Amino acid sequence: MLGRGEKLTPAPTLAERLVQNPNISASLRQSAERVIAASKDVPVLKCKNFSELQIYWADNYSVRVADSIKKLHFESVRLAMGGVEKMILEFQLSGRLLNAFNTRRKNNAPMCTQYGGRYVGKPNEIYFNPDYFDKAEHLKCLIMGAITGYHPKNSGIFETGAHEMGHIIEDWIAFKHNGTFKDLDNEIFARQIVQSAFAKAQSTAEGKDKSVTQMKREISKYALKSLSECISEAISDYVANGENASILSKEIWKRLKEELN
Amino acid sequence: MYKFWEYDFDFFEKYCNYNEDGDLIGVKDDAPNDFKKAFEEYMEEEKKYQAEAEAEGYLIS
Repeated sequence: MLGRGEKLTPAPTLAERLVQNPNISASLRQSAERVIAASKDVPVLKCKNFSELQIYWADNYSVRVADSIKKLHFESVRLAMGGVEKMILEFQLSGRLLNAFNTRRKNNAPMCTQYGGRYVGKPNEIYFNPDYFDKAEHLKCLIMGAITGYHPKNSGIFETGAHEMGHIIEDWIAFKHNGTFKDLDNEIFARQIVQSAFAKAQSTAEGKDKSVTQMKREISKYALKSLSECISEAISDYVANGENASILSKEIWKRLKEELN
Repeated sequence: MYKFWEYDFDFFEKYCNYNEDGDLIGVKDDAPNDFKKAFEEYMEEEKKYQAEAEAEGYLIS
């Protein structure tokens, strides 16, 4: 087990093993290569076991990793946490925005987030659903989601972590601007972000003559659910695809950068 | 994933209603019955989830 203050050393990961396998599909290879590239910038992906994850998050961000997570599939959990850390690093956020990782079964989704903690006296937590994260094969729905367009193209477990952190970021922006949190805010700030990003997108050749609904559909079907989900799906899209993300995702990402950096 | 979201993008373009924010708020009267039924089932489950989320704190997935 890693001791406090000891540096993490790279471990052979699932992604590294996958790219060595000549029998995998092109899309799976592409995903594995993206994960390897991301791991250079996201140190948590180098943790080798649950104990290291607990120490890493505690030492670097004061974030608690609940023991219940130890029953889940390690590499999938680590990958999702990588997406969370990617957002913290990308937006230079304080880890105190997030208090803990925990497990929660009561939701028909692989992950969910509790936000607004500063108002309701509860921690901001990101939850792993054990019905999905107990085995890697139970998370195939995320890959299928990217294929069917329910989630952004090329997105997967890593991007789902980024998506969840996106909800906490939106909550933080609402607090910064209005001193409230996003539910009481009635998505006012989410609307400002999406509307201004839409206006910028419309002024580009890629977005010209498209409606907001069309642009949201280009991100994913789930982006159509609400403004909050649109922002988090845009984050997922940008993390997965960078400059190849949809035009609205790119503009939402820029707006978030302007707000937070 | 709910069956509703498994329909092709064309269905979402042709048969859904959206508010001014571009959020999906319903299906059109002329939508195929199976699409309407899938939407109703999704909404029923979503309401249950929302009630649960509100009872237990501010939860979003």
